[in-house]
Amino acid sequence: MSELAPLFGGNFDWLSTLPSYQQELVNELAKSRAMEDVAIAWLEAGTTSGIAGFGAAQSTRLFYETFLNLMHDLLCSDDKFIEERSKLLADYKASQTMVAASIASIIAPYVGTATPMLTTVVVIILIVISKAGLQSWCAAQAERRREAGRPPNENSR
Amino acid sequence: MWHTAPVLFDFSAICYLLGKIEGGGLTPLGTAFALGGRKIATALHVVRDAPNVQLLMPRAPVGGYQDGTDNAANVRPLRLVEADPIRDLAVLETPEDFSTTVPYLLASTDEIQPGMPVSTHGYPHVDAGRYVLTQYPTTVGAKVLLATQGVKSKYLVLNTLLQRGQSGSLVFNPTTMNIVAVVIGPHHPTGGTGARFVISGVDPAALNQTAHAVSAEYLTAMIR
Repeated sequence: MSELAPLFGGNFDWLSTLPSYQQELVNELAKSRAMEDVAIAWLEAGTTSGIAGFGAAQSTRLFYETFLNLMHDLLCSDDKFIEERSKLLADYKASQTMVAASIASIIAPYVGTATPMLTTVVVIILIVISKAGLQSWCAAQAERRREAGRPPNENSR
Repeated sequence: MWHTAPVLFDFSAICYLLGKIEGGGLTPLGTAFALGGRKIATALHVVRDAPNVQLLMPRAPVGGYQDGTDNAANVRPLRLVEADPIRDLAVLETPEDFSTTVPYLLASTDEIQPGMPVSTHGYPHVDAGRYVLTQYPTTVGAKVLLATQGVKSKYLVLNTLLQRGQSGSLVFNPTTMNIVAVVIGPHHPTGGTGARFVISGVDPAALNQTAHAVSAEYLTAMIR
């Protein structure tokens, strides 16, 4: 976990890595809710009040908890996503602006959605981690998973 | 009364049917339209959970007729590049050897007033295997602000009955020759999230002529 600590060491503006229209939407959503709830709102959006989507297929919804578990495994464990963590560090050294998209591309296949849909949620969680500190966030997620009855990998902190 | 200008565009070259490959076959998803270059647009709910979205290449008409008996599909892979779940909009990218030049501009619902004529261009009944690009001239019933997760956006209410496959259709203003909105779906009392009662694949609560289309100005922000 400590190897990833530099990602959250400065005052990097994670939101600035998103396109302008997504920055504006995140800021609008954050006016009335906490950042964690902004992430949930982003994932649950897609149904406007009073409108039924009318494509040929019905969407399935991402589960925020599954996403958080994967973020926790990626950022906090010692024995999961080892290769991916190395790639993440390489991307970080190349450019911090690549980190969110890199994390999204790692997690997206596990939750069955496209990377651009997920990158915004990753950025929101990176903002949360930057404020809380990586160690505190990892501990809070481990506690959440224990309370949910789905204990984290014993090497996840 | 507004005058309805004749529509001279060949919409068949710029409106596409999207599908996904599953089980060795192609499942149709909805409609998309060209934005110029390698970008195309649709409603996000059409593509958000489909990992391998495909564009069905437009088929040449036969003596001026679309061949309704021909469902053979020549497909090209697409990549989701921009997603706005609040407005339910998506921008996808075509392969390098596929690009378009479009004869219209993306505008806004601001240029429309209730009672004005518009047209939608999409693929209704794709769930029943019908791959026919169909134009629906209609009128604007209302301009409304609707909220997703508390964020308000601009919509048109169109006096037209939508069928499965029309999500993502462009809404064309024949007066200015601009695209003013994107079809999202019909009015539904629960927004489609509550209990739905479906008969033979049809949800009676969505059988109404209160179709909603979100302003195309939000797409402009996604392709800057």
